[in-house]
Amino acid sequence: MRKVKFVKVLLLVLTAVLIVSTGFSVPKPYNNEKVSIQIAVFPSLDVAYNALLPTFSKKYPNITAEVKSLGWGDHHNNLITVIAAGQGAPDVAVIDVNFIAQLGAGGGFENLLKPPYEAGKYKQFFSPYKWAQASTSPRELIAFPVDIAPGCAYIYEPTWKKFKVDYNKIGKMTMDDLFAIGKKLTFDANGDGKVDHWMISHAIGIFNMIFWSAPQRYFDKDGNPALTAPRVRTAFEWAKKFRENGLDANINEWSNEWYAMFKEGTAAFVPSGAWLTGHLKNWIAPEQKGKYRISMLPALNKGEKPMMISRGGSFLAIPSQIPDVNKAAAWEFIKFACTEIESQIISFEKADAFPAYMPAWEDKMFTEGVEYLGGQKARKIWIQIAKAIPEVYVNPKDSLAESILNTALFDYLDGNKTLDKALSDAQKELEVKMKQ
Amino acid sequence: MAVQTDSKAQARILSLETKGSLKRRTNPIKAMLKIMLLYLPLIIWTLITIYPFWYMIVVSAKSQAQIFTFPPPMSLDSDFFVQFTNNYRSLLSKIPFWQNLWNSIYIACMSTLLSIFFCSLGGYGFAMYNFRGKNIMFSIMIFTLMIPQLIGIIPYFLLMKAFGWLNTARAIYIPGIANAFGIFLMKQYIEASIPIDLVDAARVDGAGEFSIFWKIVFPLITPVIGSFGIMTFLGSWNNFLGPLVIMRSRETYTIPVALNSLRGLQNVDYGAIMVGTVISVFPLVLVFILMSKLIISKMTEGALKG
Amino acid sequence: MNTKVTSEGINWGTFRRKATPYVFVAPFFISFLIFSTFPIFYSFVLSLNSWDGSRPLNYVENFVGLNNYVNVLKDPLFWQSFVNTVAMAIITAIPQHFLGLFFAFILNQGFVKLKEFFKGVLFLPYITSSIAIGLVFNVLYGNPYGLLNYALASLEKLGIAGPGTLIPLTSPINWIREFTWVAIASLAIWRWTGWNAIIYFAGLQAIPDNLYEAARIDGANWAQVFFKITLPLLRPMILFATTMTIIGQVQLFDDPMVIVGGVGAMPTVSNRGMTLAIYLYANAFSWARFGIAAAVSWIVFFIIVFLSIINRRVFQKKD
Repeated sequence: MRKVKFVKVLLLVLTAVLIVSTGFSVPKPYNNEKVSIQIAVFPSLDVAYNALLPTFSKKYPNITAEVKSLGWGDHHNNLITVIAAGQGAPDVAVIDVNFIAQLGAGGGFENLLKPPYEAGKYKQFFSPYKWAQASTSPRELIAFPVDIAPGCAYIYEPTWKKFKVDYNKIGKMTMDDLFAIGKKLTFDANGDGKVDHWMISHAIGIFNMIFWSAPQRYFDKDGNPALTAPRVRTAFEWAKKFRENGLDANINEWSNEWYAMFKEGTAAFVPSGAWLTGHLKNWIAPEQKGKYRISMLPALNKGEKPMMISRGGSFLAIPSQIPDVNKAAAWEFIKFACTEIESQIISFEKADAFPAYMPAWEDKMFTEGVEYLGGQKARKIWIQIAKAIPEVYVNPKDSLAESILNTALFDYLDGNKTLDKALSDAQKELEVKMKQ
Repeated sequence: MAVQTDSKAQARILSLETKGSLKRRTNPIKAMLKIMLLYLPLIIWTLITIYPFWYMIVVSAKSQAQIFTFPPPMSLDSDFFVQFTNNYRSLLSKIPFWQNLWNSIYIACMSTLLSIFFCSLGGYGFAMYNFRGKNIMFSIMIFTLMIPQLIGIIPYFLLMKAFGWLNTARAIYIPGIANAFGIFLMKQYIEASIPIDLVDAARVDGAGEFSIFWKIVFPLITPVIGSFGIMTFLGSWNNFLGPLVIMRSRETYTIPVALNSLRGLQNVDYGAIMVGTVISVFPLVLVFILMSKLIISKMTEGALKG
Repeated sequence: MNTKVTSEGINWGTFRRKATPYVFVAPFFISFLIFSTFPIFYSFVLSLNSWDGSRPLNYVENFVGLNNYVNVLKDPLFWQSFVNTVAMAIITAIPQHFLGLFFAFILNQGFVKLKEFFKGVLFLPYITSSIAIGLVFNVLYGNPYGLLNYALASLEKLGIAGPGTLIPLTSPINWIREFTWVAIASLAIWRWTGWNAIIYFAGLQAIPDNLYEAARIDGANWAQVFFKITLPLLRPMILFATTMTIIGQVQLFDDPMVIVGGVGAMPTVSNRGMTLAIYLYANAFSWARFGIAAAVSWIVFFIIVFLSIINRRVFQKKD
């Protein structure tokens, strides 16, 4: 028992020391000290950053950098564990947007707006929404944008051509128009009585388009649960409309059937991210080269701008628990990877990581056509989208809210609950859990 | 002695019976049916179990684009060796595979050998002795089995850091060498198969307690040692959470963590992972054969005893 | 013969005999003390706090007493996970053990050469990559192109399946959505039957052959031998295997994740596949509610203990 009590007291003291120490020390800018840093990533950023190391080492000969890669899920689990344990963190950590809010909430990572980082001077070079995603408050930026994922829809050109609908005009259409088109593009090709070509793979894609394209998502500006907001309702209703009219195939993303849909071209319109192109080209549907195009999303209602969403993206962060000199060196790497055009282009080429640094978009490769997409000037469209994605309200409990709302959506789509019940139950559940 | 000869004769009659040579005179069809009936479930089960394993091998020799065809691939293409080599090269370019494989083998071996010793010892203690507090201690031990592991990962990490054991193999295999699972299994088995008279007789002959255990009882429990050995080895091999938080550099990763590090959010290099998995199977098969010999050896001894 | 008949000799011999069991079982308790007391204590303290893991735990600020336990017991998602776990445990436990015992029994019968091969087959599920297993099972249950649906469609064409027939199902069925428990249970059965078979096989090996011979001489048939001799002698092993099944099934994580798992433990299909262990994991690593997760782990502990006690009453050897 005494042993246990001793341990408890020790922990308490250690904790206190940790809290106090992080408050007081201010790291100095990097001054050519000899230091070695670990950069923790997940695939395929390991390929990208390993490619950056030679140039980085030449510029900073006294920094020895090593890239350490773990599976996407494992990497984040590990990060959560070491942050919670207060020890063992890498010097630079890639954080996927899905985890940024919960990891950033408690001060486990350095506020990059403060000295010696002074990241604020780069703010103008990044999309506002991206900057906002990593800001827990206007005066705190806990991670630096490195790559983005503009959301777009993947069009199976032959189907659209067959019914003489122009996918280039989607950006000027509304959801009503999309729905009407959807009815046309859902059909039975081989005449066996069963529909085998659908507009979209899963109705949740419709929901995501509408839900993710507004600043307010699960929580309002003040952090209160807002699952009964009008836009949420609208998103639910539209998803249901597509489901009821048989326009979606009810096939989950990343399942074998989903890949089959791309291989066989049975989905006419699939909302996803810019990065899907690489996958389609390399392994999902290489034989359909030239048959797919991308397009913007429609607007929700007449007179509005097209909906713009972000589907992914990563950040680089510096854990607060590492020694000061490591923090300084880590910042040098982050600057190198995120604010040097050359680095951003290399990451794009090697790992399909779309540059977050806007000046990188001036590179001529963004004016080229993408071969897999039949030569379409997709990169220009992605840049357009990236510029127009709205800032969103970020909350540490976003992933909890997402689970609750998605469950409600599935219940509603399956017909197990009415719309009012699904939303009010979800709202109540979130409110209860927020208080815990 | 007469009894022994009789039972030997009986044994011979029985074995003839089961081999069917006696039955042959009575009902050949029935004997055939009996054998088929016994084999059939085993064969069906074999097919069910082998399928995913075969699939693993097929995928290891396919390029990424070929893996997700529909219907899924079931046979090796003519160029499978080329693809296998491609995937192998991809695997090696991403992780120090052979180093990781060795790490897994080393940890699993240490874990298995030490566990076999300590758990059989502990199980023997609980099975063959009556001592004050025995029931309470045994119950406590069983209770500890029921504590869920997941949340313990953070304090486990802190503890290993405090010991200075981070990034070492020790941190993985030492905590489990005297584990409740093994002791429980050994106790049940020893209780059921070793008569107390054997132990008492040895004591009367002046043998020390430990040598009774090591020289007399341990050789008799080889079947459960073999089974437990396989399970412990496989359990250690598949252990994921521990190495994930303890091992801090690519060179110290074990195979599950290393192979999983090839999984991005969407871009999983399945071919490379499967190559790694397929190659990793060989040490496992080796261990299995070794342990099986232990299990089989008891059989013949048992017949002699009979 | 014990030659040390002096009073000191007897004391030493008796002392050795009395001390030995403690020495033999000590390694477990020592290692438990060193390696497990801190984690148990930590997780217990954690369960009394509200913590999101993003900064070091502050015992004073974050203390919430038993609130976490109350909140968990009030959470409908917890109860859904509980029902899922128990339902799947029952659906898997029975086939696992019956099949396991059945295979062990067959293997014990006597065809030597193939024995090693079949034992190897029993272990195959443990050396097959989870990823491969996931791919295969998803192909099996795929909607609309999975193997089961393909079989169903063929049966429909033959007129054996479809509404109003022997098999009143219309293809394609989303098996994973409609029959979540069975889908996950089938994977668990596939995985654990061999394990149980090995344990039972070892147990069967321990039964001396002369018992069977004696029974045969007395004219007993198969059934009598099995129920009156084999099963009772297997009792200790059955108790062991069933206890381990309870412990394992209540903490079932990998198998449901393979079938319904999505990004960060958030089930992509419905919550019908969420087990207690997934609920625990999601609370800790997906939703940053470590205190709640710790409370869940202790509640799960009590569930396991309770079920094990019942199990013992059923299978404990009554001398």
